[in-house]
Formats: sequence, structure tokens, C-alpha cells
Amino acid sequence: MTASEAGKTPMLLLGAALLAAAVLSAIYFAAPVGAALAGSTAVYDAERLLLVYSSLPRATIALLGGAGLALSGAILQQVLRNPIASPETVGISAGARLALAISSAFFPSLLGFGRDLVAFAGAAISTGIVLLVSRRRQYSPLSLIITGLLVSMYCGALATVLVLVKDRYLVSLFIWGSGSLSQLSWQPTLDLTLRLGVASTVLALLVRPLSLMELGDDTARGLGVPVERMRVIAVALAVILAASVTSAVGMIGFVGLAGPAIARLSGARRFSTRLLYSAVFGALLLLITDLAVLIVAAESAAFLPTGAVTAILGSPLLLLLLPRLRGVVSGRLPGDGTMSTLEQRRTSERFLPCVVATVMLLTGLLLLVGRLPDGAWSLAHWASLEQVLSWRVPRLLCAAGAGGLLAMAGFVLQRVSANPMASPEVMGVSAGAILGVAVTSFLFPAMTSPLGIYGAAALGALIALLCVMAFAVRSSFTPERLLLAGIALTALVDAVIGLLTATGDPRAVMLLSWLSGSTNGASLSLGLIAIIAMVALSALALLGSRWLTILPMGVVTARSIGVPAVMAQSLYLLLVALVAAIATPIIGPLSFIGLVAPHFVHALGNFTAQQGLLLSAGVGAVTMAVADTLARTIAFPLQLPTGLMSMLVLGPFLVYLMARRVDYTDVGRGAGG
Amino acid sequence: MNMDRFHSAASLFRDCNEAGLSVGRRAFLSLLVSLFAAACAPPSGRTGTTGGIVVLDWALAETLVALGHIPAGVVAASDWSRFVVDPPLPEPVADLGLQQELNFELIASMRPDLILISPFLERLEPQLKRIAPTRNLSVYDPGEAVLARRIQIVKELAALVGATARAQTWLAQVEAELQRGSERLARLQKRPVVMASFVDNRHVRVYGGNSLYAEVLTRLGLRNGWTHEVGYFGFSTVGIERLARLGDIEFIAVEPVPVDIARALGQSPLWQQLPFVQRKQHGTIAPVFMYGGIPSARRMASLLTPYLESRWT
Repeated sequence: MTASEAGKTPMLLLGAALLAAAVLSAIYFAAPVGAALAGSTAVYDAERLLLVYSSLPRATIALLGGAGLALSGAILQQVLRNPIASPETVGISAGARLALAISSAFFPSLLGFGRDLVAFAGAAISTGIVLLVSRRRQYSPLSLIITGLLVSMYCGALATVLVLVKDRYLVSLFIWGSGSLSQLSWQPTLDLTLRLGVASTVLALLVRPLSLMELGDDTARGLGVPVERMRVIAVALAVILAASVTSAVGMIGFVGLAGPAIARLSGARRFSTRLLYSAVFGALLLLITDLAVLIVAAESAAFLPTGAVTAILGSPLLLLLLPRLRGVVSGRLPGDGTMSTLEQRRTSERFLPCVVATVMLLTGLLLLVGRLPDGAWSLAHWASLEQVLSWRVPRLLCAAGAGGLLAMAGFVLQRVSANPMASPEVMGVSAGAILGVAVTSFLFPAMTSPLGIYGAAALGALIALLCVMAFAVRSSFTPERLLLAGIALTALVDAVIGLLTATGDPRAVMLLSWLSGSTNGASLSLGLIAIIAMVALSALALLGSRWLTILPMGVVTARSIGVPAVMAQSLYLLLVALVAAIATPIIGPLSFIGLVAPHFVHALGNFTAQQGLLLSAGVGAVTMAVADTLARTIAFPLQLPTGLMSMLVLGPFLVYLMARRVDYTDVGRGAGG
Repeated sequence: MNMDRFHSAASLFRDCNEAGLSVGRRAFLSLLVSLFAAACAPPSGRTGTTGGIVVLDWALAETLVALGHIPAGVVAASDWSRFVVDPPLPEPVADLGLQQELNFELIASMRPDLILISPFLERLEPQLKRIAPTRNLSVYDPGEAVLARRIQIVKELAALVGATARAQTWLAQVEAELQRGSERLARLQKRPVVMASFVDNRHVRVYGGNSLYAEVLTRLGLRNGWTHEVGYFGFSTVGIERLARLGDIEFIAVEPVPVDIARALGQSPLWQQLPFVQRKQHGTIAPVFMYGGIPSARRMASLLTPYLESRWT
């Protein structure tokens, strides 16, 4: 890019954005402003009132909110040296949201005065966790983003439990969570101005040292910048900026990512320029979206929160930006121990029976645990055999089967993509299934038949799979891209569901329970199908166990020893998709089991690919059976969804694994990654 | 997370893998024996009666209670007093947990004679039918007048519990109450009424069309002040500023009201200048279950009539 071009692009982009904002403002504001100027003789002038105390503060808070989020994103991208860092992708917004949800459910009096403090605290905790985990990897871009998105998912799941248990008919959490910009006075705008003003002043003082951090930690240190301290201060500033906005207007998806992205795109090289451009573009972006929402939704009955709209528009942006990520997640895979030598240890003949017996014994024991109608814990006795057989067995089989399937698929996926963080849940296929159901149940409210629901799920999974596959082919199966593509898709689904549920429709509550992995619909035949599928697909996967041994060493190595790498990868991806289509309707998209089970196996010891696959399936089945037992007993008489329970149990473990076990190294592809 | 246990399980597994069951056998066997002993112990602490009707929908439950029938169990009974309030849930009714996540085992252990559900639980009907005969009754049908549908439900439920005579007198009583209410209000200078619930400090739900609230307004001879389009279930969620274009109306919010609402409204010049706020034509009434049946309709009329009488001349 030549200098003159670099000068033109930002002006062009800026001009386009300003023009769009101006046109939309003209459409929206022409009538009320005209009326207000003409003056009204009426005592009560609704249009003037709306203009002064609702539309104008709303436009202002849109500009402020967009600028705040974009600034937060720009700071994060600078100090973490990560082009897709943003309040959404490092867990700030989700943490703030969860904290506010918890306090509105349990300590509503806190919200009156301490709303911002609650949001800060939540955001600081979630961001702290993400940074602590990725600090060991020198904030490697990918591990940071993956951790951030996983922590966000976890916070989202916790908020879902709250809604299920506490928020029966009040949908305030949803509306707030999906970011409506509705205003009633200038007060929130003034409050936000004050907060952003203070934060920006501090930021202005830090611009120089922060610019130097671009040169790399060592150089910056050499120039006298206290790198670690500066990073902590900058992240704290980003947290304050984003949490203030979240506290004022709720979750506004992806503006914090889009603002800085457009700033970069327009060729802003210097950090100070980038900050300015980010703020301007972020502000305009949110204003444009909000005006468009206002004009389109006008007087309709459907409630359209702006934050959910930006999230829907923004998630594809994450996909577009992926190629800019330079870091690579690689390193030791779970069960990598035997890989240095190509020797395939012969699996002991006792191995398979041993795994099967252990799994059956453990799940069998879990079947006995239950609670009596008065709430007392009990072990099943012979008299309650019928109860155990007719109610616990089907759901346990479903849970164990789905858990085994997903865990097996997770193991396969981690091997095939040579990526320790891969799993079917985060690949987006599960999310596609849910999206299918969501859209169908809202387009055809009358349709409640199970067949229709499963059909919609399968269709959604298939479409998601095709999208991700197309993406995979284009990026020649670069595993981490595939993974993030899936996460972006999951974020999109989240946004759509948030939008649908914000309407307060009771169907949304049902959808939510489906999303959270309820085993309520379990029947013996479904359980048997899950178990049979687990056995059959595991056997199928074992056919290529030689591929599974060799593929983690990379496509080039694999080719050189005669493995048809791309074909093997395609076949296994297809297998994984099949697994997701079977298991997601049973256990929901959020169990984490496919991600965690292979790591459990790794903790058990070193195994061959064959053994690892079998053990993963076994561990997945048992873990999910435990989750199912907990879900059914822990909050008696309330029963919780199994998928959500599994996520709540495995989430902290996942963070622990990411911090300790999985060894990432950053391999810069280009200089100065 | 208990890592010791995790590691001991891991080592157990390794033993099992390498040497069969030799080392872990004793541990497993002793565990098994203790579990078996516990399993064979006579069941203790089993309480609760069997039989009766289990109701998995509040509208149906409140109708049954109003007909003098005490259900054996109701979903989310612990929240009843927050959302339904009246008729109060009689004491021996068991709490069956979440409606979105049914506790089949608990329901089955109650050995009910009949299970009542609404169409939202249709997908779980096969499972419920294994426990007891299951009736799927919809209090809601977009094609039918809300109250007519709900009166039909009263009759069907009355037939189920053998309270047809009682239902007839009760329905006549409700009818008379509604009639009296509308006569009492007819004497007053009426204004259109907007029924709403505050969702948070910036949003309200307003009721129109085929919602229970709107229908009760009509039965009381009142005009609904919210004339815009509403969603499938008869309400729509809007920003509070959308109330600005409402003219001379009576604004009634149904409790529960979020705690921070008063502060937000106090800070809002827009709210302060709304015509119905200026003229003090706004207030709240106690909770009425918005997806409820005839008992909720009756409760709403009984709350609304004296409320409006105290405010209108």
C-alpha cells in the first residue's frame, strides 16, 4: 500500500460510515426535529419529549457505547498483541453479564447503587481467569481467544441455570443480556460519559508506553517500559471501559472487535491513530446499527435489541478476521507419549474387556443413587427396581452414550487436527443443530412433534457442517482456524437465541431447556440407539487407528509415509459430524465432554491411539453418567439439565487443564507475530 | 475437584490395565458389599401419599384448586406465592420441580391417577403416559376467545374430578362478579386502561389482543389503551419511552416490580412528563398470573375493580 492510498482508505471508510449515519439519522430524526422546530401549541408534546429525552440520549449513548467498546478492544489488541482480542473474545462482557445476573437474582438491592461495581467485579474476575490461564503461554493469541470464548460460554451457561431456576417469567436477564439501547433520560448517558471520560484521560497518559509495547516485550523493556505492570494497567482500563458500557446498556456484541478491525483495515499504523479511529468507527457502527433497528422495527410487536443485532452481524466478522491470526496452537497432544517412536504397542487382549467392565460397573453404581420424595438421599433397593429401570436407565444410557460419542469424536478430532483444543462442541456442528430447532420452532409455532424437532436439528447440523467444511477446505484444514470458525458459529447461535428469547415468548424457555442439554426426552430406545451408535462409530473410527497415530505429526510427515492425509481428515470430519448430529439432540451443545475427556485419558497415562480412543469413549460415558446422576439429585426436587451440569462440572477442570496440562507453544509464522 | 481421588482412580485403572483385576479387586469388592448392604436395607423415610392428580401447568392447577380439588403435586410449587398468589396452594401439594426439566422419578413415585399437561410438554407425553393417563389441555388457542377457552377448561377439569355441579355454580359466581364489576365501573368516568409489567428499568411488557389481561379489561367494559400489534401470546415488550404517545389512559403495572425501577423512573423527565404520570393515573396491583385460567381472570377483576373505583370518580 502506497502512502497516498493509505491516506485515502481511512477517509473513504470514514466518509462512507458518516454518510450512512447521516442518511439514517435524517430518515429517523427529520420528522421529530422538524416538528420540534415548528413548535407545538399543545401542552403536552409527545414527539418533542421523545426526541429530547429518548431519541437523542439513545443516539448519544450508542456513540459512547460503541466508542467505549472499540477503545477497549483496541487496547486489548495492542497489549495482548492479538488482532481478534476484544471485550467479547476475552470474557469481559460475559463476566460482567453473569455478575449482574447473579446480583439481580439473589441480591437485587445491590443493583440500585452498585450496578457498575458489580459489573466491574464480574468482568475483572472472568478476565483475570482468562489472562492467568494464558499468561503461561505468553498470552499466545490463540490460547487467549480460545480460553476467553470458553470462559464466556461458561458464564453464559451459569446465567442460563439462573434463568431456569430463578427467573421463571421475567425475561429481564435476557433483554438486558441482549443489549437494548432504550433510554428514558440523560442520566445513564451522563454517567457513562463521566466514566469513559476518566478512563480516556488515563488512556491518553498511557499512549506512549503502550505504543512501545508494539515492539515486543524485550525491546519495550529495554526502552524503560515496565511491561508487565503496563499490561495489567491497560487490561484493567479495557475492563473498566467495557464493563461500564455493559453495565449501562447490556451486552453489545462484537462492536469492540469490529471498531479496531476497521481501524486497522483503514491503514491506521500508529497506536494513537488506531485508538482514535477505533473509537470513531465503533461509535458510528453502533449508531448506524441502532438507527437501522429503530427504522426497521419501528412500531412492530417484535422486540429487537440492538446488541443482539450487532452480535449477529459481528460473528461472521470473527470468521473474516481469522486469517490475521498468526499464532499457532501446537504441541503435545493428549496421549502423545508413545508417538516419538512409531512403534504401535499391541493392545493387550484384556484392555477392551477391562474398559467395558469398568464403565459398566461405575455407571451401574450410579444408577443406585437417588433421592426419596422427602428429599433424603437413598440407595436403590430391590423394591425400587422398576423405578430404576424405567426412569434412571434410559436417561443414563442416553447420557453415557452421548458422552461416549462426543468424547470419542473429541479424541479423533484432536488427533486429526493435531490440536489439543479441538472438539465437536466447539466446532459449531452442535450449535448448528440448535439453530435449526430454534428457527423452526419460531417459524412454525404449531410444530411440536419430536420428529420435526429432530429433523430440524439434523438439518441445522448438516448446514453448519457444510459451512465449517467449506471453511476448512479453504484454509486447508488449518486446525485452529477450524476451531475458531466453530466458536464463531456458536457465538452466532448464541446471539440468535438471545434475540429470540428476548421476546419473552414461553417457547423460548422450552428452547432454552433443550439448549441446556435436557435428558428429559430420554427413552429406552433412544438410549440404546446412543449406546449402539457409540460402539459402532468407535469401531469405525478404530479402523483407521494407524492414521490416528500418524496424523498428529502433520500432513507433510503423514504424506511422506504414505498416508492419504486429506482423505483421512475428510473421512474423520464426516464421522465427527455424524456423532454431533446424533449426540447433540440428546445432550445439547454445551457439555465440554468432547474437549475434556481425551485430556482425562492423558492424565491416566500413556496409551496408543487405539487404547486412547477406547478409553476416551469410556471416560466420556462415565463422566456424563456422573453428570446425569448429579443433575437428577443435587437440587432435588428440582432436576437440572444434564448437559449444563456436565459443563458446570467440567468447566473448572478445563481451565485447570488449559493452565497446567496442555502445552502450547507459539510458533510465529511470520516475523513479529 | 478432588485430585487425590482422581489419581487413585487413575492408578486403579492402570493396575486394571496391566494386571487384570488383581490389586483393585479387594477395594471394589468391599465397595460392592457395602453398597449391597445399603441397598438391601429396608426403605426408610418414604413419605407422601399416592394417587391423585399431578398438574404440570399452573393455569390448570389453579383451576383445580378453585374447584376445591387438591392436586397431589404441582410444578414449581415454591414459586406459586410469587406469581399466582390466589387461590393459595393447599398444604399437602408436593413441589415437582422445574416445568422445563421434569422429575419423572418423583412424579412416578407419587403414583398419580392422572397427569395434566399443557401443549408445551407435549413432547414428553409418551414418558408421562407410562406413569399415568395424561391429558393435554390448552388454556391458550390463538383462534379462540381467551375466556371462552378457559371456561371450557373449567368444565373439562370439573368433569375429570366429578365437580360439575360445583363448577357450574362457581362459573356462574365468577360471571356474576365480572358483571357486577363492569356495572360498578360503568358508573364511573372511564378511561382506556393499559396493563403492563415492568421487565427492567427500561422496558415494559404491554398486553393486548388475546392476553388474559386484555380480555378481562374487555369483560369489565373497559377499553384497552394499548392498540398496537402484540406478539403470539398477546403481549409485546417495548422500551418505556413507547408509552409517550399514549393519551389519556390509566396505566396499571402488575407486580412483581423490579427494585431499581423507582429510581430509574424518578430520574426520567420523560416519565415524569407523561400525561398519565402528571395526572397521577398510574399505579400497581398485586401479582396476577398472566398465563393463568379463570381463577386468575377472577382475581384480576377483583383487584382491578376496587382499584379503579378508588381512583376514578
